[in-house]
Amino acid sequence: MDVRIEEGDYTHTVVVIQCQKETEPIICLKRYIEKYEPRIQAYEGKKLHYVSLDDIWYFESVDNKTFLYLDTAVLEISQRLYELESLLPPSSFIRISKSQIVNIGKIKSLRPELNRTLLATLYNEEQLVISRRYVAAFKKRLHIER
Amino acid sequence: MKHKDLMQFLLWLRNGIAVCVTWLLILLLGICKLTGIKALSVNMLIKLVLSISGGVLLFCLIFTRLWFRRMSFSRRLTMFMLTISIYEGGIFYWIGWFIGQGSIGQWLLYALLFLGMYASCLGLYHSYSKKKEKAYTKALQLYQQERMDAHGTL
Repeated sequence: MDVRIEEGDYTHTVVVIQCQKETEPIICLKRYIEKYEPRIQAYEGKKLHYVSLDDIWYFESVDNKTFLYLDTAVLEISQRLYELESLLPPSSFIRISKSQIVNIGKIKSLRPELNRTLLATLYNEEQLVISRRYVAAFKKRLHIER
Repeated sequence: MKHKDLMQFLLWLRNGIAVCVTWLLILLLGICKLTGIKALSVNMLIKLVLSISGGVLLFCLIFTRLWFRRMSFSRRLTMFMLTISIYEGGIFYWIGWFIGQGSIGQWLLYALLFLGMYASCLGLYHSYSKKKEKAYTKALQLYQQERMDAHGTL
């Protein structure tokens, strides 16, 4: 099977499967693509969960363990934060401190603090501090001029 | 020491001295006109200009990146207020405006003046931060909207 990606001035992403006949494997592939959603493996004790990236508020590293925070649950994952940085879509997630990566889509507001950090308030009213070391990169991502 | 930081320091120093000395002269002219003073001592003028230049130098040293590359605004402000209050005290003795030990009340008034200025600066900075907060949140919302348009999700 030949897999190609064509980049262009498209407004929507369309996946076209070119085949001789719509066979069962082709139908399965179509369904798989339709249902595709980036997910991450996470554990609640020994129970395995596949978590959609859109549901994650932020990742945090505590005592050499990495956790992801959802609406009502905190799950453990096997990856370290530096591994996550290369795995996660950079347009959605950004490192904000030595121990946290946040989902930009979950941030409600930003407030500069006196000590040159930024205080990010999430939609669930939780507050995270964007440390001085990461403020410049964060501003650059949001196209905020210094 | 970076060349860019040195240039910024010198630029601030030049502009600061120019602005402060100009204002000093305008104020002196106003005071003399109002109080009917006909002549000013050259020695007094030199002392005033030197003391103002010293204050500007202190300001530039603390608020530019020449000496303190990474320091928060609040720390710079605290350091400036502490040093300028000591410096001004010394200058006032030199000029002859302060004589002897002074009373506790006088020193309290002196300290209150600096505390008032410190609080005003912090207040101004707070309102500036509020403006920044609005701008940053707007930039965030714009980014989220762009992502929503492009990917159909935040």
